[in-house]
Amino acid sequence: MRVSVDADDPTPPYEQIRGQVARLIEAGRLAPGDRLPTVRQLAGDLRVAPGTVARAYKELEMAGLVETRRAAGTRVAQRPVLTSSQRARRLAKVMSDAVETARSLGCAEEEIAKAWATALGRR
Amino acid sequence: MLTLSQVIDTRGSEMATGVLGLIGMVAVLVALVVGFAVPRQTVAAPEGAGPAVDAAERHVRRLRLVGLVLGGVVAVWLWGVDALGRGSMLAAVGFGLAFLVVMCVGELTNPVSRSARSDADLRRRRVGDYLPRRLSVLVAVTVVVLAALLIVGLVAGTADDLGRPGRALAWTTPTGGGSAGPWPGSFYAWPMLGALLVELALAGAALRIIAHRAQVVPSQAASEVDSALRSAAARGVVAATGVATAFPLGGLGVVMAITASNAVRGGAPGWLAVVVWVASAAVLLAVVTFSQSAASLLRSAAGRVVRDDTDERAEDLGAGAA
Repeated sequence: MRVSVDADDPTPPYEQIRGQVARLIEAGRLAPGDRLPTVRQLAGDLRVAPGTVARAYKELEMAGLVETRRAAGTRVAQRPVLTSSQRARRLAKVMSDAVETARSLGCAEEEIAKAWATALGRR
Repeated sequence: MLTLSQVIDTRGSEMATGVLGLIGMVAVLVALVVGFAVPRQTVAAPEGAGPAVDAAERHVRRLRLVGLVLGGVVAVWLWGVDALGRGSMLAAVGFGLAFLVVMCVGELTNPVSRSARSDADLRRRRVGDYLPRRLSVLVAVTVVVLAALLIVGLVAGTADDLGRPGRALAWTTPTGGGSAGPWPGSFYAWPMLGALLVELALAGAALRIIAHRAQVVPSQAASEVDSALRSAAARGVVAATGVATAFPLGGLGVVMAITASNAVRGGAPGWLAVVVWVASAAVLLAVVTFSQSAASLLRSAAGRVVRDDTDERAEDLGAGAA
């Protein structure tokens, strides 16, 4: 599993790292207990400042996706079992974020709905 | 008139030097044959990243050669420092330390390429991922045996007839007693134990640097090459540690075996016969470790890890077009 940082992407590098790691955890490709690379290793490999990776890890920690212990380093956190209402709230948030992003791209509602249906159809 | 201990001391030193020289020559010959006869596994340079990978490998290889030369100079200098054998005992450790320092500098100053898009593995790199398994076990056993022999020498050593502490082996019998030397007591064991600790600490630091340094090219295509470069560097560190520990182990083993054997013949307690066998076995171990390590060192400095397939690819494309 790899993460990348694109210098031409307007998204800040820490957010690029955070987003990719968060998606890997949420998709289950990074399991609870899996160790992430040290801040220094990832920063060196991605050619970014250690503070950039540290900030990404901090945000992941605040979101409850990873936990950092002094000796064990940063590991993927145990994920709590969501109740149905929590799951509904998370789903609503993901949907509204997607719609907001699509609107910011200048997409009309029909376009968004069509893209939505296509995405669902692929599954 | 010479005392028994002086006779044993003189003959023991001459024999030890002769046997050690012979063992050293055989080990170096075996190392040379193995080092250059066994083909080396290489990995292909990734398309587009060839020059960057090539520059990194050239840099590391050049520094390894510098390390070998510098280590050789340090070893030669140390060899002549002390007429009583401490210099020659520490020469190989001096070689190992100089080589490891240069290797650390080489890894820390590795040229890294930059691009607009960088990607990195989310796996945490560990030192163990890059260690050569068989050689590491061999070197670890050598270190343990060397430390054990030094401790035995330290415990059993007494002052020699000139009052230098830890240079002789003395024993008492109901009819009197005797002494023999040279013996690796505190006179030799403390400097060697200190040097061994520094050597191991530096080797550990070098291995950590190798595992945690930034990847040479920040792309998935180059990850195999990056791992191969790290493995070759880790092999160099383990091999340098092997040379640094096997050589003094061979010397100590020969000296202990000869002196303990003379002591047993002179009426010393029976447990020294066990020391003779253990020290002799340690010499065999030292020869094996030294030849394997020296061969690995020579290969790490002379051989390439990455092959350039550009020409082969161009030929394939040419054949395809025709």
